[in-house]
Amino acid sequence: MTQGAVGVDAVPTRRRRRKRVRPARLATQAILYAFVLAFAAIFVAPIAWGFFNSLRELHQGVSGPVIPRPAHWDNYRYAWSGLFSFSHYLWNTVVLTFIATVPAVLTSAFAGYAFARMRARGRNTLFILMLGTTFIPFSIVFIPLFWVVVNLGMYSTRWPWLIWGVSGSAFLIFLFRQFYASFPVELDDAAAIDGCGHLRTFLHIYLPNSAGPLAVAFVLLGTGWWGEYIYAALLLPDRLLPLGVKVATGYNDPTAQIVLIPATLAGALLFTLPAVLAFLVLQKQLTRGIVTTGLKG
Amino acid sequence: MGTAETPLAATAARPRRRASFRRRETFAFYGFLSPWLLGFIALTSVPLVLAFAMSLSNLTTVNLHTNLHYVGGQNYSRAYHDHEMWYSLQRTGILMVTIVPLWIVTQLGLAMILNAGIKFLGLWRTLFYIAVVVPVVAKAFIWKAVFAQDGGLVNRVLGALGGNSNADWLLDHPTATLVMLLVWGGAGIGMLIFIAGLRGIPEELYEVARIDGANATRRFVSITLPLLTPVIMFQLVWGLVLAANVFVEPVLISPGLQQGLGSTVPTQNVTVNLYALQRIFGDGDFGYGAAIAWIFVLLLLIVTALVFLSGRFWVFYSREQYGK
Repeated sequence: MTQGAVGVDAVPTRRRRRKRVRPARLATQAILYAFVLAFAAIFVAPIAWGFFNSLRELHQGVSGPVIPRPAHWDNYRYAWSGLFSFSHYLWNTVVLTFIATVPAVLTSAFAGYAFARMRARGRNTLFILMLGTTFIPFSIVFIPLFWVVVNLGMYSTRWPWLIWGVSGSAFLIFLFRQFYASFPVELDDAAAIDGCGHLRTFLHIYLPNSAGPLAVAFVLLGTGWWGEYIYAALLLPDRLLPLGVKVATGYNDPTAQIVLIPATLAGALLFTLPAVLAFLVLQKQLTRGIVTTGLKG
Repeated sequence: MGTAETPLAATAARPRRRASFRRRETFAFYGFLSPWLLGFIALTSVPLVLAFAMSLSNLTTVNLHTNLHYVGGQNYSRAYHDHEMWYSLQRTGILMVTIVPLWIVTQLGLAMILNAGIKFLGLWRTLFYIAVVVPVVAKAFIWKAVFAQDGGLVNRVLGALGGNSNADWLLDHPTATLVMLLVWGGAGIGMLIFIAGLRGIPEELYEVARIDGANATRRFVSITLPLLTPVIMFQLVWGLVLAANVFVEPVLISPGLQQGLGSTVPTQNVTVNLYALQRIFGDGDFGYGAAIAWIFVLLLLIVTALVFLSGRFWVFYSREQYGK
């Protein structure tokens, strides 16, 4: 009955609102759209600028007409195979991203489940320690790690990436914990009655139902490793370098000793494309995942 | 007889079973956690201790050399008298106090625009977020092209508006250029988190305020801001740590459009992290670099702890009251 009343009430108000558009409301709408357009322009202009300049004559800087004429599309072919084999370094990037991301997401999901659903002595202390690691700056950890990596003979190898991967990420563990803590407990009870231990409960009930946080985890961590620069620059030899480093150093003109800016931009955009595509494919899960995981703190 | 025995048997068996259950649960817990835990020990705890040990030694190469010995607080007193170290700390501090407020204002502003019932929400959100997924190398070269002295986008716009169109941004205003890069490239994630925060505010509060005659400014100050303070706190602390760790971008946007990474980083952009790494990978001075890193860690810890504690005075926790 109350539902019916609401339904009857709602229709005329909505109609009335649509008919009378007050000028004040129109003005705020106009201001709102002006802001959105301005911000969108500011955020996209640099990328568009990078794209336009990737079409200039190879030895040019960025001066000249905004949209270069003629457009040197062959810069992309040059970026792909002119000075080095782009595909070789692309493969390196794929390998490094894969071994650093996939194990990390799994490890983090396991740890997040443990923090959310298992009782054990030391759990809360470990959770606080885990959160604390996010405050530790890069340099203090990397300085001794570099030394250890060299002395263990893992310099110029991909082993460190796999180790970083297997050990997970504090940020993602937090994300999974928040998500699993909001899971209905009845599911656990049902699983327990069916004789499932924690491992089977996690693998058969929790993991298949975590599309949201898994998407968030893969996008955030995957795009992060895809573009990673400093570890690779300091630890890997040229033949194993990912594009994140190669693009910065690979497009130097061997004779003129200058960076070929159009080729660099072309290479950088080619390198950016897979990350953007991955984001576009998973973006719905990403935004929904951030809302549902309670990442907001 | 059977009925009399069962309760006795049950009370005898239950504690043992519960103890074994608890032990198994603890076992499973550490089993689930083991990959992370091993990583935590190997990649965080041990390096922290090692870094401290290094900072007390005269380690100057990657190899353990024969005359390696304990030097006490020598590296720390050297850092204390090192003006360049203090200058790099100051530059890191300046980055932190400029970027973090800019981030929060941009992120909250974008989130509020997107939350105002706009059309094509997904498109705008994607456009605002896209810079986050652009790899740092691509960002850096795009930035060099945007801020190039000769024909860069910014100088063209300034010229069209009648301003100075000949500024060498990368060389003469390196910090401003860096700050703009970080705001552009880092606003997206925080924006999504603010959107989630805004959606968590119950709509009834706004309706009640509207009935009471509160205007938009009043509603923002009295409802939106107080209920967002937990999110703002999260963004503040996270942003401070991110800003404190900046050092790759300054290297990648070093001046000279076509000079690549060969040109030197302007001293204004040498953050304390970068300074420590330069001591190690430039001078091979592991002990001194580790000492600087430890000083930096302690200072950062103090700053974040103070920010956390300040939350008692301005963060508004309302979960019980509004059920969210």
